[in-house]
Amino acid sequence: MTIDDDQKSLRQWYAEHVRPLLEDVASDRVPPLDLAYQRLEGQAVPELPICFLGNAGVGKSTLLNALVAGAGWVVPQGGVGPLTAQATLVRYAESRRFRATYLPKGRLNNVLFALERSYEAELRRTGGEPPPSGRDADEEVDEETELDVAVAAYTGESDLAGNPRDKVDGYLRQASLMILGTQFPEPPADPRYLMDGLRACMGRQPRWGFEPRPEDWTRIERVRAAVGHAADERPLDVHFAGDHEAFLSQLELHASGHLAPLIRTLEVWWDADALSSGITLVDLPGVGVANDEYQRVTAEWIRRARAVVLVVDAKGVTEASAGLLRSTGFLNSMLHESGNEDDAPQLIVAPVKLDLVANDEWRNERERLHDRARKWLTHFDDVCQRIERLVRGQLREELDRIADEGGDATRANRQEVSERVLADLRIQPMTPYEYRVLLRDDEEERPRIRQPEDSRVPAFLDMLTAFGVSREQRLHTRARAHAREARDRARANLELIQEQWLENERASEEATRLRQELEEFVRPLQDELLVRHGQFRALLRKEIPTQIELRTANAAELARRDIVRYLRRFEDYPWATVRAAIRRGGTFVGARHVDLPNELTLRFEEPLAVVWSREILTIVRRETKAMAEDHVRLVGRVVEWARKQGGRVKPAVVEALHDELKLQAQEVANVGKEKVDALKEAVKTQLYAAVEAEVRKRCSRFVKSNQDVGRGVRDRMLAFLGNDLADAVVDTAKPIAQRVLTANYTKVAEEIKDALKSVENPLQTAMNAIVSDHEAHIRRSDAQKRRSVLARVEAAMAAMPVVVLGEVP
Amino acid sequence: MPTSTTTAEVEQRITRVYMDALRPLLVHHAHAAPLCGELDAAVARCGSILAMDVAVIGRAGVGKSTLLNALLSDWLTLLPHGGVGSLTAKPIVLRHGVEPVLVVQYKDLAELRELANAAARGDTVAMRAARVAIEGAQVGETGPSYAALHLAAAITGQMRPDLHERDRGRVAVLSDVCAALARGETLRQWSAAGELPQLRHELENHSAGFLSPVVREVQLFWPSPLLETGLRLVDLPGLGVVQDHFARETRAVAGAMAGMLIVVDRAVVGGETSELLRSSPRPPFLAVVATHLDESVADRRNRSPSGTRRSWQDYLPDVAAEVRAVIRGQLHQLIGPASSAAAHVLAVAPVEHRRFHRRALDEPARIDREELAGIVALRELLAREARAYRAGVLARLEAALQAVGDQEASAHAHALRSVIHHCAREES
Repeated sequence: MTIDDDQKSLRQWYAEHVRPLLEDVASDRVPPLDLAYQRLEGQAVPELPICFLGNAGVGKSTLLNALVAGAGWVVPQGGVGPLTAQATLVRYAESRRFRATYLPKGRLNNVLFALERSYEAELRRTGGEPPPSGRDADEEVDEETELDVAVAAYTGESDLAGNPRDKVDGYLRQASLMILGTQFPEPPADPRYLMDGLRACMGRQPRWGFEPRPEDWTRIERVRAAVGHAADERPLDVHFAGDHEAFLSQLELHASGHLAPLIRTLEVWWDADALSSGITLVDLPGVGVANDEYQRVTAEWIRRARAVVLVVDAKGVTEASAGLLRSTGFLNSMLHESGNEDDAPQLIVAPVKLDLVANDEWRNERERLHDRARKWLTHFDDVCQRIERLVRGQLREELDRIADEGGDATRANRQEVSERVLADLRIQPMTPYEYRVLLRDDEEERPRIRQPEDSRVPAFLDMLTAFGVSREQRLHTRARAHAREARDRARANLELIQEQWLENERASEEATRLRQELEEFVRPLQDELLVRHGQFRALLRKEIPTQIELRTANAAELARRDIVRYLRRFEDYPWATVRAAIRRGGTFVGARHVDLPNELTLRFEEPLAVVWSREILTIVRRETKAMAEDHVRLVGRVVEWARKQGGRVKPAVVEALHDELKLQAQEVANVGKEKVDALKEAVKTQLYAAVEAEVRKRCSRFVKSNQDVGRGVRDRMLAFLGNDLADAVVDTAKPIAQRVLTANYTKVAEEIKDALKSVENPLQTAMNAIVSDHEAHIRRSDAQKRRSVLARVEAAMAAMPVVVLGEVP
Repeated sequence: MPTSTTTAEVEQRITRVYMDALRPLLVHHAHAAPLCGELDAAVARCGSILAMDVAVIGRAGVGKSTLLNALLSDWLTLLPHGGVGSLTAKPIVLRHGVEPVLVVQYKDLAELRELANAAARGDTVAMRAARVAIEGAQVGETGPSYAALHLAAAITGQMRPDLHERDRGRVAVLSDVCAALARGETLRQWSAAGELPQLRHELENHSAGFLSPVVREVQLFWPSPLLETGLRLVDLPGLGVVQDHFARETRAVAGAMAGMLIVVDRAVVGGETSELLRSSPRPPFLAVVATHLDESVADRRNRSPSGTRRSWQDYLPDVAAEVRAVIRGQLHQLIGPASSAAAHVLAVAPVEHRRFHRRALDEPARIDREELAGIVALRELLAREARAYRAGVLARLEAALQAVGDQEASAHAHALRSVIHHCAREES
């Protein structure tokens, strides 16, 4: 039975047996329990995309195919040029198919708009006059495109080291891919032909006097069809009908072919055992490719990834891959989330193409030693061992570098976790190529291995499956703990009711006397409790918000220092790259990866995460727990008192309450656990958006005031980066950080209030439990009703689901 | 070094004549100054005015050394290739010799001391170099100062007692090298009179192995008709591996040469390579050679339905043509129409070429005609370029001398003409 079933039966039990009973006899107990049971919902294991990252041509798709389809194909591989242009998700399903979800029509419009505007500008510069555009009413272009085009038209120059025209050139390549089927036509296409081609795709009249050539019509028709799908907001579903080639070439058109620029998501479902543990494999566009628009796609995925398979060849980790892992913050989050979370980001390294090295070494040795040469497989094993050492060393240096570079506040901590991350790092060298050759069993190419295991691909498969399974188990353990807790709380309430109603009638006579004695005993405890409550409220309302303000300011200062240090690095960069980055609003994806918004946000994110999870949350949890423990302690005194009363009082009545308070204390010790991820996400997105806008604004101001040209440009740029930008970014980000933290804290405070509300005054509750007021007593003395309540409690106890008792294997 | 009259000897003689006689005549004339500047730079780089040096460069692991091996020999393996991690740490100059000779020039002692000091200070690059020298690999499991201490000891000819057993062999060799340096012997050479494997072993140790940190330059003289044209192929370290501190230097070295041969794989022109193409200066001769197409070819073949499946070699020309077209298109965008039209784009299959010649039973070739692999065509292109380069230099020298107009210059111009005729005759 799965955890989903467990939770379902538990919720059902609560709804059918427990809640109605509580409403009848103890309605004040309902809201807190409702809360606990609501939390059981929506805890299904979230999808885990495992992202395959690596240089173009390193063999990500080959590996993925080997894993999912053995000798067959699920994603296109082995093609020429930058192949995978879109992220392709591969998931489990019993019937094979793929689905393409297209970008809205506006996308095509943006491309056309950008091209026409820059062409018009060019034309006017050379004294020409463009034909009328006949703009349609439905043309709307997003702001970013407007800006790119404006900047390009404004500067109007074309130096080759990454210039504003790059963006327009990027649009040209996309248009060329859509219409001509290649990003790099030779000879290059006439922009006017492409623009009229795009017009044809949108069913508009040509403006530049070109008719599409017959050989381009098929493509234009397909783009038209895609635009139609997008307009109706319906994806394209293609089912596998037994013909690999047909399925694959359809998929290829979308993944890397001329439809790639129109794709929002591309998903493949396949009935492979490898996927049945619930993992999703994501084939990402390769990195390290010149002039590629799709690098953004990859960066975006890695930014959000929780699991990355880094595919490398025998040379180990490339700068392009490492740069991406750094600039997207993945390595950082590996470091500062390691060990803290059940769901910390995971990096698995998969060195492939090792067969090539083994081939060479085996051949060389045979030339030298002839019959005494070692077997191929021995060489392969040897290569596997060496690559593992190499990769570990390379990643150690990367992590050390981050540990050295980061803010002072977190350095020691980082070094310590860097060791742990390295110890946990999984490296699985293999040869998917030989694995496929073996499975294919082709006359013309004989495999060098005898069994699939020799290729080490099956071991990797096991690793991925185990990875999916163990993560699922971890999340299940957490969900089960919640379920157990909810069940125990309901049971404690039932027991309490049982004790109350079992009390015999004589209690009524004693009630008044008992109450007097009890009140005398409890009064000093009540006073203590009031003081504690007052303190706790002050903490929540004043102390913590002040702390947030102070610590955020401190974190901002750390971030400022860190940012200045980071920006100083540009002194060593070629000035053309720096200028390209500034002109493009702070981002320049070339061989040298400049991503100011990301890098700067990253430097904020981390001290903030520390402020939140190490500082604020720690204080809040500590204090809340202390408060709840005070409740336990004070009620504990009442329990002691009750026990000394002999036959007059049944201690069980307060003991049940006491137990429930203990459970509650445990629960509030983890308050805010759900909010950690939410905060991370909020910090990431809101900060990033603000920082990006600010950087873009400053950069564009810099460019518009002509400071990026002429004498002394390098010094001006460095001054701009070093002083103006750092301060501007920190000043923008600080209030947002504070807002995010405060908002998050408000939610946590509410959570605390909700959790403690059930026992706003536990002493009063205890007293009422022992000597409930006269009215209640009268009601209970109704023997018939008493029997009925007790019977319902019995029934509820009997119906209590036992599945959660099965615990975790 | 060489005994018979070879092109190399002619080259040497003409360079000498240029330095001793022609240069003094020309250098003060404005019209000849650019030519002199160019030739002086060539002498500084290659020690010759007629040698055309071509940088062979590409992403690490793209197959530079495999390609060079195929260019230089149909079946012998000269350069270390494959392997785990970045291999070529030092540029290897491949030039013509009557017999195979390896010449290594070491750094001087002061430089090595500075290296050991920097490593002791914790400089990352130096620490890594020290690790390579002492432990044979960039990454080790020892503490940060281990390699630096033992390197410093080896420089003074000592061996510290805490040296690990497995590092003893390397430190002994290092100590020998340093002792020789102390005696002023900075050059060492190995001829293949012994055995080729020995030479190959030394080449590997010095260019990519534990001796590379103490080496300044490695030259391999090799008897190949291709190199006899005056061509010098310079195998440069691969680009793009993480924590590579020499990428910029490598690019600068490549840009200064007379030619650049960029090796790419089926991912075609990548980020590192495009940076290379965009950086200036860019040599006048530019070739982009795609290699490692095997997988693309195999894939195309395997995807075709089994009934219509043809043999491997039938798919090679299509893939090659496609790769060339993509590269052409990329070049056009990267360096503009004029430069890209002048560039050469080829697709080759070096592994197939060697399989074809080796004819080993357990590794049969998948081509039945040599020219399919494209190596022959690439050799012809390079040879043609090298000859044209030489002819161009001679012709420009002659013209410059003519323009000077005095008697001595005219006499030299006349002599040069006969050399030009001689070369032309030899080539036909």
